[in-house]
Amino acid sequence: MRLGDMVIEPMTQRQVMEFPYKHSTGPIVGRFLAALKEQRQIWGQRVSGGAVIVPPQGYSEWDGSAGTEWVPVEDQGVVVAVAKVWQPVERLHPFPEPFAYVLVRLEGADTALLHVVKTDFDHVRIGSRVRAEWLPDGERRGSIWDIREFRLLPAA
Amino acid sequence: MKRPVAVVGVGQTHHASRRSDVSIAGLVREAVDRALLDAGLEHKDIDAVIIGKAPDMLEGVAQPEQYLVGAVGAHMKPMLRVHTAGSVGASTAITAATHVASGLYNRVLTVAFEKQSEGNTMWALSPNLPFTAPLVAGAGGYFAPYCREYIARTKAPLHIGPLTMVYARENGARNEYAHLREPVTVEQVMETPMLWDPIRFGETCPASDGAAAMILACEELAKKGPRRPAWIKAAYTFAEAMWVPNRDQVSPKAGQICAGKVYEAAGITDPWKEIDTAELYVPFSWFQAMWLENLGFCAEGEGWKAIDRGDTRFGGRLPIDPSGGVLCTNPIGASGMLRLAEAALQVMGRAGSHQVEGAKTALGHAYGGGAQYFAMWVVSSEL
Repeated sequence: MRLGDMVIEPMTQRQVMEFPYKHSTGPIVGRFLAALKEQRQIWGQRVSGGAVIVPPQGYSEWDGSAGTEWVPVEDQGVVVAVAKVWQPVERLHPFPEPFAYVLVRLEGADTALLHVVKTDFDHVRIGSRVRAEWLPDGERRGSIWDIREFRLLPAA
Repeated sequence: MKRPVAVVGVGQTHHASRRSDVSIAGLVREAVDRALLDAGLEHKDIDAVIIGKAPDMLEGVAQPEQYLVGAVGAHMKPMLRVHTAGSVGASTAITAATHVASGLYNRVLTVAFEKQSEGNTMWALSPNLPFTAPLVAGAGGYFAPYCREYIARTKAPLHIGPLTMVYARENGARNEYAHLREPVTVEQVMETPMLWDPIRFGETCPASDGAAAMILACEELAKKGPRRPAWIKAAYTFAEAMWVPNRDQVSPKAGQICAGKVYEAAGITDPWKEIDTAELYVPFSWFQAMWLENLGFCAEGEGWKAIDRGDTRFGGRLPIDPSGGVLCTNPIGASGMLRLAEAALQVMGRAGSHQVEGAKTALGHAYGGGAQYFAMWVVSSEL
C-alpha cells in the first residue's frame, strides 16, 4: 500500500464487542435444569418413535412433533466421543487447566450429553464408563455445571 | 407468480416485552403449531421450510436456524434462512412464495421471529463499525432526520405523528395478539419524552418478543381447504445501496419501484381506490405518512392529509395497519411477516375484531436496514 511516496504497512483496527445476553430456558430445558438443582436427577423426554432425548428439547428432531413423557435416566453412562483440550484458550474454554470434552450416553438415554472429564482426563477414551460428580446441596444453581464433571468408573 | 400461490394457514404468538415463559425454539414452535393447526396440516405435509429473523446480534445466538432445524420440522427437507434486516419477515415469506411459484415445492412453511428481551436491540443495531466514528444511534436516531425532512418538505403539522399513534393503538386494542393494546390520546402522546426529535417515546414501536408463521400452497392444494385461501397476486423485493449519491431516504426509490412492480403484476392502476387495506411497516409514527406517498397511495405532500382526514383510521377510506401494526407490536424479524400475514387474514375475512369490512385486496409491506430493503405483496380473496 502506498501513500504518495510513502510505503504504508498493512493496517488493522482493534475492535472489542461485548454484551451480556439472557436466554429464557422455556418450560422444557427449564424443568431439566431445575431437576439438576432440586433432585440431583437427570431427566430425558420421550419423542415420536420412542427415543429418549437428553437433554430434552420439547420436540422430536425427526419430525417436529412435540415431546411426550418425561423419563428419568441414570447419571452414569458410556463415553461415545472425546476431545482432549491440552491447552485451553483463556476466557473461551470453561477451565484454565487441561480437560476432556466428552459425549456421554447415559443409561436410559438414546442421545449423548455434552460434558467434561477433568479428573484423570488423559485416561478417558471412547467406551469409558463415567458417572456424574454432582455439586453438593446448596451449591447447585440449575445449570449444566451443577454436574461438576463426569468421573471415570473402573472398567466392568 | 409463475403459477398461483396462496396463503393457507396463518399463526402468530402473543407478543410481549418479555416472553420469558418460552425459549427461542418454544416461541418459534408456538407460531408454527398455530399455522399448521390453522391449515389443518402436520409437519409431514410440508415440503420445505423458509425461516427468517433480524441480525443474530439481537439474541446473541449465532445462526439460530441451525439449531432450529428440528424445531420447525425441517429434518430431511430443504431449508433456507433469509436475511434482510427489519424487512426480513416479509422477504422470508416472499422467498417461500417463490419456492411454490417455481413449481419445485407444493407446500412451504415459512416462519420468522425475534426475542428482543434476550439482548439489547439498541446495542445490537449500533455496532461500532471499524474505520468510522461510532454513531450509537439505534433505529430511532437513524430515522428521525428523515422524519424531520418529511415535515420540512410537506409542512405537515406536528400532531400528525401522535395522531398516527392514536389510530394504531385503537387498532392494537382490537387485536388479541398485539403487544400494546392501551388506547392513547394525541395529548398523552405529546406529553411523552422526545427521544429523537421529532420522534417521541409515545411515537415509537415497542420492543417485542414474538413469532409469525404461514403456510403457502399451490393452487391445487390451496383449493382443498379447509379454509378460504388468500391468493398472492404479486410479490417483489428490492434493495438499494447505502451510500449512493443523492439517495432520498424520505421516499426511497427502491420502495417506489417495488410498489410499482407489485401493482403492475397485480393489475392495480390506482392503489388508493383498488386496495382495501394495507399493513405498512411503520416503526415510528411519521413513517405512515411517508409510506403513503412512497407507495403511491397519495401524491407527494398529501400523505399526512389522508391521516389528518381520518382516511387511514379503522373504518376510514383506506384503513392502514388494522392490526395495530409495528407501532403496537415489533418482534423485528417477525414484523414484516406479520404485515404480510395480517394482509392475508384481511382478504380471507379472518382478521376477527380488526377485520376491515369487505376487504378483497390488501397490501403487505416491509422495509429494513437504512431504508434499503423493501418487500411487498398484494393478496386477494380471488384467484
